[in-house]
Parts: sequence; structure tokens; C-alpha cells
Amino acid sequence: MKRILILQDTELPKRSNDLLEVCNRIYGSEDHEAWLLAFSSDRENLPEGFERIILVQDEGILTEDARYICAIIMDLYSHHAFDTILIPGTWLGRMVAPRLAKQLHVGLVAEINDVQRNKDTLEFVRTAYSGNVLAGITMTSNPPIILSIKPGIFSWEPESLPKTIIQHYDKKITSPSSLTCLERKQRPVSYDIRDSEVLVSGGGGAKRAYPLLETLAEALSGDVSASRKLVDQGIAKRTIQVGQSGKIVSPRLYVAIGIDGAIQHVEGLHNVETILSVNTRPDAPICSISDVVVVGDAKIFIEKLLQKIALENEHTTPDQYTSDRGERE
Amino acid sequence: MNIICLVKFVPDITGFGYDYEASSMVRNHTRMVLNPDDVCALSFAFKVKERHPDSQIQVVSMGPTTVVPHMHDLLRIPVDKGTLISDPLFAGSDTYATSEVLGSYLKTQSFDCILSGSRSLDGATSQVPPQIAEILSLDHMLDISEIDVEKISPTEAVFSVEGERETTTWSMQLPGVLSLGRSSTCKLPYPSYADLQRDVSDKLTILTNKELGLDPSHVGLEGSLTKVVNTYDANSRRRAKTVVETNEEGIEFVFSYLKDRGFV
Ligand SMILES: Cc1cc2nc3c(=O)[nH]c(=O)nc-3n(C[C@H](O)[C@H](O)[C@H](O)COP(=O)(O)OP(=O)(O)OC[C@H]3O[C@@H](n4cnc5c(N)ncnc54)[C@H](O)[C@@H]3O)c2cc1C
Ligand SMILES: Nc1ncnc2c1ncn2[C@@H]1O[C@H](COP(=O)(O)O)[C@@H](O)[C@H]1O
Repeated sequence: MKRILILQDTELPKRSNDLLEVCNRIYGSEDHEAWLLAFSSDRENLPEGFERIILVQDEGILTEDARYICAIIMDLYSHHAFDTILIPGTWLGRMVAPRLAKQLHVGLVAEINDVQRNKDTLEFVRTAYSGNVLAGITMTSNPPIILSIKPGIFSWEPESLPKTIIQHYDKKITSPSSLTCLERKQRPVSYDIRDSEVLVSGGGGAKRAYPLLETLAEALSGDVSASRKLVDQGIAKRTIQVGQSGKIVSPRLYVAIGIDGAIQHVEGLHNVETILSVNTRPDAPICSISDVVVVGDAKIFIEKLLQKIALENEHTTPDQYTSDRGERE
Repeated sequence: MNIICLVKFVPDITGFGYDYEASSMVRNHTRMVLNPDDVCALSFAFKVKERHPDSQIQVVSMGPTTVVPHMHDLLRIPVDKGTLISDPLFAGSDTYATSEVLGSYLKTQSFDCILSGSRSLDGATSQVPPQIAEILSLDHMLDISEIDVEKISPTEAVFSVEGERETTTWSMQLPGVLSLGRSSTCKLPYPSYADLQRDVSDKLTILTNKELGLDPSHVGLEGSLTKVVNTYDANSRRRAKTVVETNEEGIEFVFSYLKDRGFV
């Protein structure tokens, strides 16, 4: 029986079980069970699918303290000798995984987005050269396998749910770290683009039209996202950036407005059902990966489509829209 | 303050494009540039030096000797000392081996603070700084958006991190490792005209394994615990596209397309 330890995703605790899909990819039909290391502050958000959840109770702990978390994992490892340890590739996880690998003297493949099983070798796939190539990497060190997992790529569908044992971790571990949190300022975030079904996304060519993206997103019951270009220019917030250094998103509909389609951007699109792009250049790379390409100006497109939608909403039954254009053009 | 900046020179890939129709990478030119996050680290070091002119800045890089001219460029702006760790033995090191090499050198140095970038552009993923911190038994923080230049001292640093839902401010005892990132607005000063001509080679030390004396089986390809065995094309996502324009017909098409799929 293989045993896997997964560190909770403290940013999206409920989605920690997406990493169970990585376990399935690694072990296939081989008997395995997954344990979750979680923090009591997220008690109400504990995900399903784990055989055991180890709940750290310590009131005074800093869940952002990588050295403390490593110490707990090392303690658990010394008792349970996990075969694999999976760490979400979040801000915290990116500090924990490399330290852990050093402490255990094992290799680390970071931010993987795929697992390939070939006979008896396991290949972990991640992007290399700024996203231009995918590299298949094997571990040459002895177990455990330590991986950090790119958020948003894997998703787990329960087949059968194990009964979860919740075990309290009461051992007092003193962190070697001197880290102290002086202040926390909440930032208002109304939505998380990783959860959006429809994204209206703006890029360098949508600068002028940026305020309109919101209106279009509303009309399509979706949210606004952006390419790094608009984020770097301070027009869009970093939290809504799609791509390699932003977020991986999986909406049903992605409307790419004035986005060129650089590989680092496109890497952020995972399992998107429909891509609609609007671009003045029909040969922009994004056009090749779109279902529908509108060649033209971003602002004009949005205005016209909004008019069309408004017009249709004004008018009676949904099936009549084709005969009902009016003089607005 | 005695500051060490870890710097890495990376291929400037901003000029790379991708041709999805042909599924191939378009490489226009491969210039080496200072990793953008490291620019932020170095420019913070300069801020400290401006305030405390007696501060010392050492840049440390591990890489091929082809980066020597780039190291010289840094020594023409107010960097006091440069160290390039370069040996064919170290070629092909993964992050585990890289941090071993850098760590073994850093152990011999005295410093108040190690500054680094959070991520290198060329595909690595923030593993080197936390591993170096682990080797040196120091605290570390990743993705720092700002370090408070007024509050930094040889014993403490105060800095903030912009997270998903909150911005947090931290204090950490020094010596420690601080990794900056997530900002593309940092710039380095230009050297003065006089400095452009200056010979700075005496400020640069090149170290090989002769000086470092690491076990050859712990460095380079041999010392790496991960191995790249395959590369795959990142792009097989071509779709059958319908192309329209922003005329009446095009908008009509888009509208019905969205309507058929329940989006409007
Ligand atoms: C390591 C690394 C990580 C990166 N990570 C990311 C990432 O996470 N996300 C990301 O997005 N990028 C990322 N990038 C940057 C990426 O390479 C591109 O530079 C960026 O995506 C370009 O943004 P853009 O397509 O919006 O803008 P541009 O490249 O400026 O393209 C603008 C597009 O709009 C079109 N256009 C112009 N005017 C109009 C108009 N009036 N109407 C309609 N269309 C118009 C143009 O034809 C063009 O196609 C990364 C780069 C690196 C090196
Ligand atoms: N070979 C190297 N030499 C010096 N510093 C490095 C090297 N590799 C990584 N670093 C530092 O570690 C940071 C993160 O790099 P990486 O771990 O490669 O993503 C970089 O921004 C540098 O500051």
C-alpha cells in the first residue's frame, strides 16, 4: 500500500483534493491512500476524498511559516514514511517544497502540470524555457517523491469516497523561524477567475476598451480577466492575470479581446470549451487556437455586441432575433 | 549593511514568439539579460547603499564564463565585489546541485542579508533561494513586493508580500534570505560615461571547483537528483476556427454562436 501526504492548499482549501488526481496518475490502480495535512483554521473547508486528515491545532501558529510546516512534515514522515509528498505550488508551497527536498535529500520537480507513466518510469512534466517547451523529468533520487503541483491543472472526480479519519496533531513543535506577521490588510476580491464559467479577457489591444469589458462580462454573466500586458501597465489587477505567471483558468467560454496569444498567456488556458478572440490581426497566434475569430477593433466589437444583446433582450421571444435588426447598425 | 545579491543571467526570451500554425518556436535573438526579479533585488540593494553609503554589495552568480562581461557591467554601477562561480564540472546542475554549489560558497562569506529574485525567467521555479536558506539554516521569504528601506538593519528586515486576498507585512531577523519578485518596474542605474570605460576586472573573482573543493559527484549532472528525459511541444491546441468581422453579419454570427451555447 502506497501512502501519500498532501499539504493543504491554504489559498483554496476545498480544492486540496484536486491533488488526489495526481496520486491517481502516479499510482494508477496500485493500492494507495492519501492523507491531508490541514490547519484547524480551515476546519469548515476540509475537503473530501482523504483517508486521513491530520489537523494541526496549535492556536498560535503561522500557517505561512515554511520552516514550521517543514518541521511538522518531517516529524510525520519519520513516523509514516510516505512514498510521495505533494505540495500545492502556491506561494507557501513554493517555499516549503524546496526546503523539504533538501532535508530529505531528494530531487524536486516543481510546479508539474502532467504525469506520464511509461512502463516502470514516472515522468513529471513541467514547462521549461519560459513556457516554450514542456520538459519530462524523472527523479534519480530514492523515495520519497516530492512534487509541487501547478494550481488549477488537475481536477479530481470522486469515484468512491473513503471514510475520513480526522486525527489531531497536538505535538508542540517550535519553529526555528523568526518570522512575525506585523499586519494583514485584506484586499477586496469579488471573484476568483479560477472559478469563472465565462471570462472576458483583455490584452494590450483592449486598453482603450478596458472599462467596457466589465459591461460585456456582465451581459455574458461572466468575469473580467487580463493578460500580463494590462497587469504590468497597472490597468488590471494581478489577481486576474491569466497565464504562466498568473492563473490557470478553465472557463466554458474565454473571450480574448486584444490578446496576442503569447505562449505564456495561452498556457493559462486549460480545458476551455470555447475560445472566441477579437483581434485586428487575423494572424495573431491566438487566432489559431480559437473557435471563433472576430477580425476587428476591440471597442467596436464590444459596443456592437452589447447593442445586439440589448436589442435582443428588448424584443420578445428568443427565436425571433434573426429577423429583428433595426437601424442601429 | 553587508549585502549579497544572487544574480542569474538568462536568455532574453521576450523576443521569442510561437507560431501555432507551424508549431514551432520563433527565436529571433538570444541575448543574455539579468533576470528581471534579480534586477529588483539589486535595485533594492542600491537603495540601501544610498542611505548607508558604507554598505557593501557583493553580487554572486553561478554560470558559464560567457557572462563575465555582464558581471563587469554590474561592477560599473555601485557593486563593490563580484563573484562568478564557473566550472565545466557544474554544467547541467539542477536546482538541488546549484544550491549546493552556491551554498558552499555562501557559507564562507559573512553577510547581513542575502537578496535574490523569486523566480528565474528561464524555466526554473524559485527553488534555489529556499534551498540556499535551508543549507544556511536561515529564514527566507518569497515573492516580496517591497522591503522597507528605512527599517532594514543588520539584525532585522521589514517587508510586505502581496497575496491573493491580503497584503501582509512581516518582520524577520537577519541574517536571512529575501527574494523579491512580482514587479516589473524595477530599473538599474546606467553607469556614468567615465565608468563605462573603467576596467573593473579586479573586482571580479572567478571561482572554480579548485577553490570550492566540492565532491564532483555532488555537482553538475552527476549531482543532480532530477533529470530531463524528454521534451514535448507545448502546443497542440489548434482549433478549427471560423473567421468573421465586426460588420453586421459578424456580430450576428457571434451572437447566435453564443446564444446556441447558452451564454446569452
Ligand atoms: C516568464 C514569462 C512569463 C509570462 N507570463 C505571462 C502570463 O502569465 N500571462 C500573460 O498574459 N503573459 C505572460 N507573459 C508575457 C507574454 O509573453 C506576452 O508578452 C503578453 O501575454 C502579451 O500580452 P497581450 O497579448 O495582451 O499584448 P500584446 O502582445 O501587446 O498584443 C496585443 C494584441 O492585440 C491586438 N490589437 C491591437 N490593437 C487592437 C484593437 N484595437 N482591437 C483588437 N485587437 C487589437 C494586436 O494585434 C495583438 O495581437 C510572460 C512572459 C514571460 C517571459
Ligand atoms: N545560477 C545561479 N546563480 C546565482 N543566483 C541564482 C542562480 N540560480 C538562481 N539564482 C537566484 O535564485 C532566484 C530564483 O531562481 P530559480 O530558483 O532558478 O527560479 C534567482 O532570481 C536568483 O536570484
